[in-house]
Amino acid sequence: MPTQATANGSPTIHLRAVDGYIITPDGASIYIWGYRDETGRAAQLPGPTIIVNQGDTVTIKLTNELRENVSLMFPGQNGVFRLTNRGAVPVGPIYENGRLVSLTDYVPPRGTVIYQFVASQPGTYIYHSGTEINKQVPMGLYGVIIVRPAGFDPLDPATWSAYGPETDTEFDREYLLVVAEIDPVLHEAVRLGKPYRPSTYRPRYWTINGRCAPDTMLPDRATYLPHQPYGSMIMAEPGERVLIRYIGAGCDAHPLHPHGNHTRVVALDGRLLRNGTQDLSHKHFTVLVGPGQTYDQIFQWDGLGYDPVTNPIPTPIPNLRNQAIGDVGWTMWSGSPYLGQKGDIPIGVTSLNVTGEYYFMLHSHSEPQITNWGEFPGGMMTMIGIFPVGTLGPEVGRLQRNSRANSTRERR
Amino acid sequence: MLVSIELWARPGIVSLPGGFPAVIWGLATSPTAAPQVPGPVLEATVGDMVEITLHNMLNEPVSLTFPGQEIAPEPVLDASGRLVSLTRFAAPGRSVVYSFPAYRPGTFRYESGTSPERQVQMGLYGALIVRPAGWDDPASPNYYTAYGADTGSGYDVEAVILLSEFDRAAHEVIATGDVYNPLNYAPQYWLVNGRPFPDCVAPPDTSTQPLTSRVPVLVGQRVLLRLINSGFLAHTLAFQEGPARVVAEDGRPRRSPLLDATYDKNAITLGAGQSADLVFTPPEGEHYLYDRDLLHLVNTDDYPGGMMALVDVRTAFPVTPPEAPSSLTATAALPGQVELTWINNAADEDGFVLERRTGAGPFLRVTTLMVGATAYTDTHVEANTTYTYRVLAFNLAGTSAYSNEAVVTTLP
Repeated sequence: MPTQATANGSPTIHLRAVDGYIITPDGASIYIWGYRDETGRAAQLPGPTIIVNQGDTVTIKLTNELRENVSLMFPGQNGVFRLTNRGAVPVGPIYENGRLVSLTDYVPPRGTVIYQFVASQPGTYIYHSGTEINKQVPMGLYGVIIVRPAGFDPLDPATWSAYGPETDTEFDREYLLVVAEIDPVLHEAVRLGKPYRPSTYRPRYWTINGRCAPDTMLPDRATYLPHQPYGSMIMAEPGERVLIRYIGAGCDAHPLHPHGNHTRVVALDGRLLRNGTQDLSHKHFTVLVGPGQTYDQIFQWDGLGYDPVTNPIPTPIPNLRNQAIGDVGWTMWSGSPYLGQKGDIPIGVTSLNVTGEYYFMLHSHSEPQITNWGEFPGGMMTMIGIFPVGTLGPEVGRLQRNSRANSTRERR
Repeated sequence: MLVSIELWARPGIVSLPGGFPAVIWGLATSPTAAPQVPGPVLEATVGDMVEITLHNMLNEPVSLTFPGQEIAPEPVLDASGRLVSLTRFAAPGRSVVYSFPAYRPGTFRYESGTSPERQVQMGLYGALIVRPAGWDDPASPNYYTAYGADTGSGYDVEAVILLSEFDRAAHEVIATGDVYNPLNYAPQYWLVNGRPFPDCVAPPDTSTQPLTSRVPVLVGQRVLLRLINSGFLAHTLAFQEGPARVVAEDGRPRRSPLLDATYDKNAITLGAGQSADLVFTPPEGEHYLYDRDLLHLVNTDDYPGGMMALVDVRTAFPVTPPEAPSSLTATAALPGQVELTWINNAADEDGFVLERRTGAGPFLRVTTLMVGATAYTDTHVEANTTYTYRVLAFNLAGTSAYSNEAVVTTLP
């Protein structure tokens, strides 16, 4: 259950910049730098999702447990201050000996810096390091800030929207998909203290929420992915409004699409696509998720209402033996083309299908990116599961504040 | 009225960070002036007839195209039917005239239409700005607008932010007339207005890279940024203090009497050849625009560098240039480097430009240093070589005289 402040609260979040390791489905272990919160033990990828309310005065403490200067930038938040003994000072570029050493106020190793801003606008935002950003952000020092619109009550689904009443952004479930790339050779260079050479950049892993497929489809907080706590399996029931937030945290642009469906883009970079009464939201099949940018979308699956008795699929269903399923010994197919029904599965194949739900892919259409070091399938890919009406609990598609937060730990 | 512009395409030398020369082909405003990269900003007002005469002082045919203008390209085929130029060209030593009406306002480009895969990289590109009629008439509703009244494009300060890339190896091959393989294109420098960071924040000058990317703004002023991607790759420019309002794309306003389709962005991805006009009112302070492909914030592999621009917002501007630095000393105490120190005599400088020459060669910019610098270590030196250094201070009112010159011979 996520924790939320009441309106105009003053949440304090304590992040630490630390190192750690993530694992990939092909068995690799990759050294990262990342942020963790008070409950984590090592860097997590992406950093803890920070959820605040519109109007909150947000205080973020950053403690540096790395061996070089580090900082936090909040693109899209205006009026960011650093709290000092002499009061609040606006953050800005830092020069030393005539050299730009940080785009914003930083903290040296073992120190703590305190940033503060008012979350004035609802929406989806990035946070990331502002120091040596050609290295520190690709190393993993990034995360997401979600600002809830005024009036949002996590306990009252009637108030759930991305941008407030009358914005046509109401949702029943919501999902966060942070995309990025990893060049493990550059990460290894940092681990070994060797020169970091961006000119050699060649990503081999493409991540959603810090995971490569098929790990993307595992649940949140899967115990065997201790530093990649966020899953990205999208689950919904027919007709539900699903808010999907795409965030480009890496350095490259990624064309994401859900197979066979469109999403309606309702906001960019935390700003609603609406001018007065003019609705600028628009449907896309493929959304090019550019680096440093966020895309909020409302997705709805209504299907065509097929039913074996009242509305049968008007074409012969291929014979089971003509269906190429289960080459690897398992399938997510139910065995039936009808939602909520199960059918025959070839002998020797295990169906992971729970209750006759549909699955279709959501992935980067730059298809070399749906590999893990060249091996298909993998990378920037996940699934959307459409479940029969009444089969998903209310806990599905609820954004959690961070890796292991509970309702009291960060109560402000 | 008739706007007559004469341009001379000719070779020249630019200064890359570290004091490295590289051959470019640029456009000069007289047969003896320095060729410029990018070419001069061409300006016209709606209703003008624009007539551009291109004089070719290169050793191969050259031409200019004007995407978005009402001028029909006239492709040139050779005797075998092979396309040799996208439009009419000037043979070496000859001239060609292009004319078109400035029929609608906007932010546009021009570039070579002959072997553009080589000639555009060599530097034959620039910005073309068409202003609405009445833009300079205080009585006109179009006064200080980019696209005319009621388009949301009003501004107080405007700046062209033109993005491109620079591949030193390509320049060497092309300049010597060797066969160039565009597949080998691999830029090491990422430019704004022809210079990478930090040189891009030094003042405008009369060199082959005359344009600055420091945008001086007074608090409260509306800034119009005319973003143009003249490179071969897509680039994402992120705002340190955003968002900004996208009022036009590719020279077309996004607001009409029927629909206001302007929108806010905190970072914007421009494909090669695209442009966008953004308006915002930044608060006091220094706010960088930076390439959100963070791996490009380097010069070769040196961070910080690359594609950055600086929006410099103040309550007042200095009225006099700073005092010149003095007592410049250059010491070669260690192999492979020269230690430089100087006395800063200014109280109001924004930074320093350090130049050097090798033997009796021309002075080239080694680097640009920010406020307060009094020392620099030049590590890009050859052994057993005599260098002469000089330094100047600058602020928004101009540049100081040069310091004394300091001569040093590097160790073996």
